[in-house]
Amino acid sequence: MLSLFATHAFIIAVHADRSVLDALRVTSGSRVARVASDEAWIIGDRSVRSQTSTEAVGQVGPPLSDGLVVDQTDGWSIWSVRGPEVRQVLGRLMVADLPSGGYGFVQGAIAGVSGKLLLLGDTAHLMVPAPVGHHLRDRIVAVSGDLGLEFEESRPFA
Amino acid sequence: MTSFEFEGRQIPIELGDSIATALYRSGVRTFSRSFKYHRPRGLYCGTGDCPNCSMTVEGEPAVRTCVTPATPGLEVHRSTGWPSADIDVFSALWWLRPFMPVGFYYKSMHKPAAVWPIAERFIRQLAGLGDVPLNQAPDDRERRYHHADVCVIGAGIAGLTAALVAADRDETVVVCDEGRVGSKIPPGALDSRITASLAQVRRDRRITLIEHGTAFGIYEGPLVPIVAADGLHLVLPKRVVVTTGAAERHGVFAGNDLPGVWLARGAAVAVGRHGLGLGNHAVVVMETEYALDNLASIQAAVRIDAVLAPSALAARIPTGLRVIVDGKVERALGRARLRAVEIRSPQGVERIGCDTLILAFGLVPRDNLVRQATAASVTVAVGGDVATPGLGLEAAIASGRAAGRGEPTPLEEPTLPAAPCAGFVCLCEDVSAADLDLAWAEGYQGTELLKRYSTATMGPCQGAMCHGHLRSFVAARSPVPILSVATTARPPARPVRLQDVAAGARYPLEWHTGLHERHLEMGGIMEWAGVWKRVERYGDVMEEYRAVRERVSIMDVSTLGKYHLAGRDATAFLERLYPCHVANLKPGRSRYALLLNEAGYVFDDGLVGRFGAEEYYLTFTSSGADAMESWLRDWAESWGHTVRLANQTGTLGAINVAGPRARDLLVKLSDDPVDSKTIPYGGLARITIAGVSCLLLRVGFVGELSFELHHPRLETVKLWDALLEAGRELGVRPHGLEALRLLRLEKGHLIVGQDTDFDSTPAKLGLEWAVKMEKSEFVGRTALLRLKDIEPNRILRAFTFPGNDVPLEGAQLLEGTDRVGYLTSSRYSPVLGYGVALAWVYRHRGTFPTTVEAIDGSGRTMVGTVAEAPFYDREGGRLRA
Amino acid sequence: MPKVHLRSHTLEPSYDVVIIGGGGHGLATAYYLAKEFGVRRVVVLERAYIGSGGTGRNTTVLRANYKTPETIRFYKKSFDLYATLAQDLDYNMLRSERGLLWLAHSEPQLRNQRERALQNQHFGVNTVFLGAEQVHEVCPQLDMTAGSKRPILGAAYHPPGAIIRHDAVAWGYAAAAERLGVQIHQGVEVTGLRIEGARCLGVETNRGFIGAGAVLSAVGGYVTQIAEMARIRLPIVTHPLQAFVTEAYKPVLDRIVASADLHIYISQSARGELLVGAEIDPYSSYATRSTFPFLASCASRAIDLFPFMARLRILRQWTGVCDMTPDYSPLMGLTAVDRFCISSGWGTWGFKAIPASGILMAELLASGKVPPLMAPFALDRFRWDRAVPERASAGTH
Repeated sequence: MLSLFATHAFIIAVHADRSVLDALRVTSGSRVARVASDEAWIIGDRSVRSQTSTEAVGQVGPPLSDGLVVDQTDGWSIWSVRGPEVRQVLGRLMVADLPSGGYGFVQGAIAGVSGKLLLLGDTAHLMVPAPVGHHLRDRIVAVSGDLGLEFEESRPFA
Repeated sequence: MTSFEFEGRQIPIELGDSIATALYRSGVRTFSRSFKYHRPRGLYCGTGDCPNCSMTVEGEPAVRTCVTPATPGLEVHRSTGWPSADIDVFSALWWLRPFMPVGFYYKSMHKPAAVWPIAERFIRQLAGLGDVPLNQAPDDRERRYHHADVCVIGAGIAGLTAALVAADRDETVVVCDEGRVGSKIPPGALDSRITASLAQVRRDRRITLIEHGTAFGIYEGPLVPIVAADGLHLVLPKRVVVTTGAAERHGVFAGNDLPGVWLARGAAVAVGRHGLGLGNHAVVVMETEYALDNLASIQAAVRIDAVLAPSALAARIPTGLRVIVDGKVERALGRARLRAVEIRSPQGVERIGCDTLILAFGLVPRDNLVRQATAASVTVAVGGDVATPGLGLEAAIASGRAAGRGEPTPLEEPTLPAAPCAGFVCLCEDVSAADLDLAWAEGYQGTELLKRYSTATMGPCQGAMCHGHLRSFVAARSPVPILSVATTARPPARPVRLQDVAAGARYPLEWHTGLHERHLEMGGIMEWAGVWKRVERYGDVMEEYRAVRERVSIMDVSTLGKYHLAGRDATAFLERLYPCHVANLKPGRSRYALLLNEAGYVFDDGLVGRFGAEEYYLTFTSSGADAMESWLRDWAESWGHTVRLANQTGTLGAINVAGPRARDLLVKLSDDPVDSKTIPYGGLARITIAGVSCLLLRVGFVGELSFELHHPRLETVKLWDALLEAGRELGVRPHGLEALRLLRLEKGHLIVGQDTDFDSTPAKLGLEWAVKMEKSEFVGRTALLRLKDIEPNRILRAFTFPGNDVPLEGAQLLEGTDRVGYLTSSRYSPVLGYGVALAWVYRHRGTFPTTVEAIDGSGRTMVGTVAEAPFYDREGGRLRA
Repeated sequence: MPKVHLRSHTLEPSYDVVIIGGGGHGLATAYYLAKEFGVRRVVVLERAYIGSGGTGRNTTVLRANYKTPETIRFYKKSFDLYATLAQDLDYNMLRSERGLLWLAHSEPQLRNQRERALQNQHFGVNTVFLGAEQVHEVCPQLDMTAGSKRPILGAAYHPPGAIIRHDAVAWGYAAAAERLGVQIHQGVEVTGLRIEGARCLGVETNRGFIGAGAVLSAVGGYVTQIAEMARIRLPIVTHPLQAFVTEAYKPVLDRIVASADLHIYISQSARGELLVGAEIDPYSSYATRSTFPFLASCASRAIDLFPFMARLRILRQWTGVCDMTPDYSPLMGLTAVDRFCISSGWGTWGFKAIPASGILMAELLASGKVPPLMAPFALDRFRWDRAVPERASAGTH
């Protein structure tokens, strides 16, 4: 069964030197995704949002380094697709090749918009800029017609 | 019994039928009328390579019926010929052919000049393969991407073998065929092997088979798009294998296009697979040995009166058949059907009555995709007939194996046929050998020139039938190799419908602010602003305007580009980037800034705000928002500056609160001080409004007290609702872009892109104050220094027009009869009582005009006088309240 | 006896004028040199076949609806020459007046098209501004909602807008030039310029040196390569431009339709093929590769404007290279090298300029003086802040 739901997560963007980012540590089960050599995202449950932000500032900000921590949560819509056919759905939305293992972070065009995919087993978290979140949702529905997609309640990031 | 409809008749369908075979079995012999001379055309290639069987299917013209499966309920009719394809009045054009030689339209109908427009209307009506269906809505088709290791195009025995070999090496494979696998193969040993391999392929989980999937191109990447019934498949393989086989070589001799003339493979399939009868008397031309296999099936369907074969093959022809050794077809005779052939042999010329002529001149590799790949710098492995035409079964399998392993099989230079001397070279465009002779004599010497002048190879088959003949024609006449070079192969290899190519790309893409739904609920009329949808107005534009001028109003300005910039080189970076001072900006202050390119031209504007020593907030006008990120990063990188750049355009909403009561409204919703001492004009502060944490900027583009509230997007509705609620007693209403355009114009504030042009320097815009030339360095400084001594030839100026008569934007400005400029912005100003405008004016008789006449197409002529902007709030008192 | 259009000749050691590039611009210049100025010892050197560059790849639209006085005057002259060209050259180029609609789907474009109409009218070019309803009357096949995405708000309508057979323009000029004694050599590639003391003496080719009284470079997208031979730097960046054509259908579209918001233009030829072009590829390249993203995106936009196109079949796509200038106006005239002129910077706006470019260049080569209509397009205009901005009208950018 294939389900679609909105995911509520925090996204904290950490901008710092490569070596500083390499050493970035987060507690509490959040995920770190490297967006660029000088930018990493921490993605996690909103209950630990401000705590994570503070921790990040402590690691990359002055006086240790000249890093910048910016909460970008509001800037992204996360639509999540879960189910055995998730790779089929992704193959209809994204050009980029998917990681063969169970986990991966892929950046590229999603439904024609620059976005990011966080793949966790049979759950794909698709992230696009918030102003086009509605578009992504519509496209997921449009391409999944034959796969029996069902809407579910939004839920926190896991 | 299943059937489909054909011109009022019901045509029965037998298992495996294509539309063409079902029609043939029901007695249809004329399948289409040719493009130029409206000659009757019958089934010929049977493999989808020639244009003869094209008909209109379900309203769609130019469908190749010989490769389209017959399904019940279809509606099919012939698209060419009037009043019908059977009795076509325009077939008389054949008798007019002396007046219609190749390129005749270039040589006639242009003198006197009035002739061509009339003739053209007539010619347009004659041309075309069929009527366009005007009332069908486009289908919504989707696409999917396949990342496979190997993409095999063509599922003949070589392709199937290649796919299995690759899969055995643990590679993932996508293999496709434009038809049903095996449908172009007559029954026999090859057919059995294909059936067996197909079963293996279907069982193999590493292989994805797409039948009725037309791979129409090999693009850079490589990328192979395949059009199938369920949508568009975009394969992105690591490597490509092309096993598209070979087509029967087209035969060129006088009368070669008569119905009754068949290419051998097509005939063998028609007989062997579909049990069609081929007539009563046949002559077979057999120049290659593979066709020997087909003789038996053909014999079962028609009496073979003679076989023309070279001596090497003559011995292998079964006894009982008359063989004419080294016989060549000189011409085929008949009016609407084949009736006889004239054969020349060492024994002389002989005429044989027959209604069927079967041609096996050899095989021509279907190498269009391979040549496309070469043009796109993609290396492909080729196997089977496309690599070496006429391979025997085992050789084809071996070739497929090699291709499956990725071994490059060198593509044989195709052998060119004998140079054509009579007959139709290009069936699609009705170009004969005589036509090519004439074109050559006129000086169009070379494949490209001949192609374009005669249009040979430019029809629906794109040279599949005739490309070799064109080349051999040139080669026979000129030793210069470059002239007989193959024409460039371009996608698509088969004609594909627009909607199939556009599958999955048809959606609209609108960027919405967090208030989008709210705007719609409030009756907002939306308009496009770049990629965003923004409110043009909610209702009465004047009401919105008055709210801003007299009371307080709010506007959604979330589309502003917003960047948070920090890092050890932040200040140095911005100093070098902007033409204004940045280093002396105090934390908690912001400044209007122009953005210049290296030529010193303004291409955007915005604000620079400072949070701290090396922490800034930058805004840019909507249209430039996301492109700015590249621009900023590129400059930082080229200067070796380390900066931290976070694009917050989508993360933060922004609401502008403007009007004389603006502060009163904020006070109602915030405990933080917003007085003009704490937050002066140009100030930047963090405050909480209605419980929402905001970055407040005191800006001013409309000549009223105004605050921009930048806040988290997810709280934008809450903030908006709170402002409207609290502002109710102050008479608040929201305003949209239309009101804004008037408001900002009264203030004289220009819009980059509307009031500026490509080469607008700050000086031409009257914005020299925004440029600090005393800075040692900034982007555009060198250009501006050089331009300082050059008089501009045009400048942007403000004009006023008396009374209610304001010229429309775009109006031309005249001084006397000379055009001296045009209006970029213009509106009637209610608060001032006259029209205000910005315009580009050119130097005229040494000076820039101060009085102009505006013409805007309405019939009025309005006189404008130059003015000083801003028109409203000149001293900035309201702005800085 | 067939009338010979193109002859072959023996290459001579020198000519009065050597023209590099056998496209429309070079051939037209050669023709006018012989016809209008009596200069007949002219040779056109083409490295492939005549018309193989932009002249044979464009989307065949003729119009004069530009936006600055300088370009309006220039293109109007060209347009007027095109109107009688078939009779002048005695070669039917299948010119067909269809009317050109330049659609506006947004406020900025509406303003742009209104301004364009007014400007054109002032300079005697027939262009009118139409509201949405009138657009529908002029072209009923248009989906006024543009696929429910970007409704058409209005348009600038240029009734004289025409289409023509592009190759035939090259052939017509070539045949007529030949009749006047001009020589055209195909398969001759210029490999260098012989310059002594800032003066051009002739060209080095794959067939040896050819002396010249004057040399004109009339190549399109590859002009930077020629300019390098003269050590001249041009403010040009070369971009690919793609197009596609459908199979031939019965007449269904009379107008030529362009949309700046959708970056597309569409017309139907006399043969019945629908010809579709778009904006330049956003990267710089000399390669003439056709890409899939272009085809998909352009097909989608075509369907937006004309839903009936959904089921039409694409026959062929191709690519040309465009020498783009910063202001989308051409570069024409003298260079720092004496006796070496350039006709270039034709970007996506070269085909319709051929006759005017040819006759003005011929005048320059024959007289040594820059004609007034050519002067605004001088190579050094950017240095003097005298750009001729035509981005809004030069293509669908």
